[in-house]
Amino acid sequence: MTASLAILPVLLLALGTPVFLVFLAAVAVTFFFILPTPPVALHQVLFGGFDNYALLAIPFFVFAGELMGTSGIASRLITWVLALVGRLPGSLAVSTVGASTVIGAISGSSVAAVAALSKTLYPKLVSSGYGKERSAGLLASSGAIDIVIPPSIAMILYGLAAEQSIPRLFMAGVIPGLLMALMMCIFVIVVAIVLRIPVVGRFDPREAWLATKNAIAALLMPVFVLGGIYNGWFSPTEAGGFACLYAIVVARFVYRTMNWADIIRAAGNSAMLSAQILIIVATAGVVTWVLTTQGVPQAIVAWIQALDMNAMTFLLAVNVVLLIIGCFLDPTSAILVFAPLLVPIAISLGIDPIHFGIIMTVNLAIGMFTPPFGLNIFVAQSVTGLPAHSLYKGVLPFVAVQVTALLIITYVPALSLMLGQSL
Amino acid sequence: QSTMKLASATINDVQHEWQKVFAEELKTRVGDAVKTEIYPASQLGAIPRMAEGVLLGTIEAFTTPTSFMTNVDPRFQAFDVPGLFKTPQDVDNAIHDPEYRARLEEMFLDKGLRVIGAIYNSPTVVFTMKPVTTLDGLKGLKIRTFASPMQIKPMELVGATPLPLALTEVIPQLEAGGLDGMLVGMPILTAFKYYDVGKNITDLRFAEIVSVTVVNEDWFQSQTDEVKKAIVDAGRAAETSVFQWGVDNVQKTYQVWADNGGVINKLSDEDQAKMEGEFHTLAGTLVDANPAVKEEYQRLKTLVDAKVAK
Amino acid sequence: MQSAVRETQGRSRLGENLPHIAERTGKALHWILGVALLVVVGINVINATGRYLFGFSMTGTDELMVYTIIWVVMAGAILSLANRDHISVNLLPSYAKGRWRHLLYIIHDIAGVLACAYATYASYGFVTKIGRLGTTSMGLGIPMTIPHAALLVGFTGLTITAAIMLARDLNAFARNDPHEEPGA
Ligand code: NA
Ligand code: NA
Repeated sequence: MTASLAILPVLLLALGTPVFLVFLAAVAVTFFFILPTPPVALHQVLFGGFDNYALLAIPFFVFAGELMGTSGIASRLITWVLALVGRLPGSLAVSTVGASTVIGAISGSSVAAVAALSKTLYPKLVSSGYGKERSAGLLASSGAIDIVIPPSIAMILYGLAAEQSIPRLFMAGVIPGLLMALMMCIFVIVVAIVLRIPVVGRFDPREAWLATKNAIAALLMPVFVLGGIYNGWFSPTEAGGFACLYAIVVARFVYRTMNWADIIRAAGNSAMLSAQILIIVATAGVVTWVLTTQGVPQAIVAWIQALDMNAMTFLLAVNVVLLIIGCFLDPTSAILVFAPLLVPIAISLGIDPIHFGIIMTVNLAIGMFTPPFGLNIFVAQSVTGLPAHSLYKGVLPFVAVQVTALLIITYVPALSLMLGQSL
Repeated sequence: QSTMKLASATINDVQHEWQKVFAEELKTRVGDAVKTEIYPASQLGAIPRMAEGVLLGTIEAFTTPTSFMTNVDPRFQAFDVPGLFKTPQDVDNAIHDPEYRARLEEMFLDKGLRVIGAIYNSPTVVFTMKPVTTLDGLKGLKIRTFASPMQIKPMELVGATPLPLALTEVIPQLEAGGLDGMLVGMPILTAFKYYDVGKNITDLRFAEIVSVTVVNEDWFQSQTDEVKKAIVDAGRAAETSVFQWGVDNVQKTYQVWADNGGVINKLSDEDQAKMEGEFHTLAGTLVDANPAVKEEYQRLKTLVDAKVAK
Repeated sequence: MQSAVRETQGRSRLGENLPHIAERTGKALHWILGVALLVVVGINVINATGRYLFGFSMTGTDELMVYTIIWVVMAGAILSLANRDHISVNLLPSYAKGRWRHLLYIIHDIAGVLACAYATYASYGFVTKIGRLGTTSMGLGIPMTIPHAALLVGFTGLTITAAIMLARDLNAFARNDPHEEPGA
């Protein structure tokens, strides 16, 4: 099984085989040579990976991002931000983190945020002097904030798997999510100062007013989508569809930058990228299923348990193990498998299960952009057209930043728990 | 040695308890001849996938409320007809009647499934964000239900708006006001700590959830006669011993609900009687749609009524 | 889509018209997928609006959206494979030149043919069984063979596409044509 589920996939991945074929080949070989399970299970689990309502967020937000980029909504937003804060060092990179945080409050899917932002912000970041690798790395890693800021699909799944209160988890995620965003901002400001990224002129009230006027319809987009969720007009998954609708209306009738043929072409491009993402998610799910039925997660957890640690070292061990797992598995399936196994141990050690949920979520959020397997990396790579090794290099500093945030979140439970107390 | 994967969508509830007791009972009967593996909390996939899994033999056994098997065989609907079961005792009287239980075991063999466990799960209650104490109070409320006529039609009848929404969307929508409530099994409310979302339930006492454990018949037939008998016996033994556990567990969840500031609302006797009368008529029209369901419903109804009369 | 454009230069030896037909089929499929996504967005918007404003929701809209997307994914996966657009770690291929690059592509093609053929076999088994059992979906009440067949059709298409690409890449490798763009 080591050969089929570890060596073969890493080899195929290194040779540049499409990622979904890497997973599919690994499970096909395992089914053929090792598992007693009938092959129909392969189809059944694969279908189960697709048949998930919450995954609709991916095509929706991919499409919304494509529309924002093609229609000029995104560039007007960027112009507006730069007109207001362009004189500050690192303003564009900070805006990228800010945009991820705002999208985070709209959507619950990390990869959707990366896809939505990469197309529009990557060229601007590069032309501002951040360098290709760092820009793509910033985009891939900022997406992680999305699943820590509520709403979050990962937290909903944790709540269901570990029987914890989802509202409390959502509340608990706010400060850790903002902390991650803050640390990313500080880091990119330092980078901007060190790299001497030029600041964009002085603040000019007339220019700022003009930019604001130009961007009104664009600025109302997050207001409409966020307002819609928090007023109960639509659910977080449906919000993606409304983001598309809003962008279509603005692009076609307000800015008139796209005709219907352009919109269909944008939809086609989004469908293609979504297909490439979703087929990876589904095939990765089969890998997790095979591991689960072969008792691998159970063995890992039993091993942690046998070490008989105190709460502090247990959390450290969990972080290390989950970060490694995050390098290979998709967070949503990892949460479903590991939460029921780890939470009872955490509770027995006196760790608050809500706090533990945040630790798991942040961990696996980081896993979205840790090499070699990370959906955020793959998507950023696909949108920017950069080679993989550039992405791998580009994300590493941000892995360091977010792991630092993870350690703070792990050892200062109050960050996760103080908002939840009010419930 | 053969492996028996037992899957379910929940954890630490009566379904999980039945699986644990079943595993022990089986071990005392056949030792290591069958290795049981329990996968609670949807670890092997979402409910429709587990249902397909047991149909196709990728999962050996699946424990589930009957309402999630109606697309496999409509006769599973019979257990969910509003007004059929009002108390745990009603459920016990019907499904554990020796003659009926024997029938139930082989009822779905034509679908390749054998029922090896039938247990009382819990009452269906209405969770609401605002208190509801009258039938009129339900009017116009957006209530999340399953996509089943057995839940949709009763809610329409009382004037509420039934909305079959994906589970992951429910809590964000309840909090934002897009939903006013949901039809739900009582233990789910405390397991997922819904008292952090809202404080009110209305106990309409119109349905009790029955859970069954089905095994893949091909797999079952591939076992030795000794193992087959042991599986059937262990299933029966487990359901006998967990019945009271299930009843107590439901009582405990009402207590947990109250301890966390939750309120349990009831309709006035007048409203309750009115609702039950309307549901009785509705039950008739619901089962008329399918003769097989009707036949099964009447069988169950006769058993419930006969025992109540005693 | 870049590779599709490149294909239009048409240096294929498999027939003069093939690239042209392939390109047009690809464009049509791209358009259909776009329209399908727009339809799903429309269903989503109508469903949420109906629910919020009128307390009305059609049973099974979530199934309709998800099942449509499954078909879109499988069709999009075939098109992406033909265009060599699938997400991959393109570290080695970006350095490999000439024959080496053809060799890498041959390895990808072989992995594609074998893995997708096995998945096709698994899907065929599943779809025929679920067809015999006659299960229907919870919300729409349609036969479950309809959504499941997306995988069967999809993997069949992927297997055939991978096989055609394998034939072409083997051909290119044998001739060692440095100008030949490996691809669909
Ligand atoms: Na979020
Ligand atoms: Na990773």
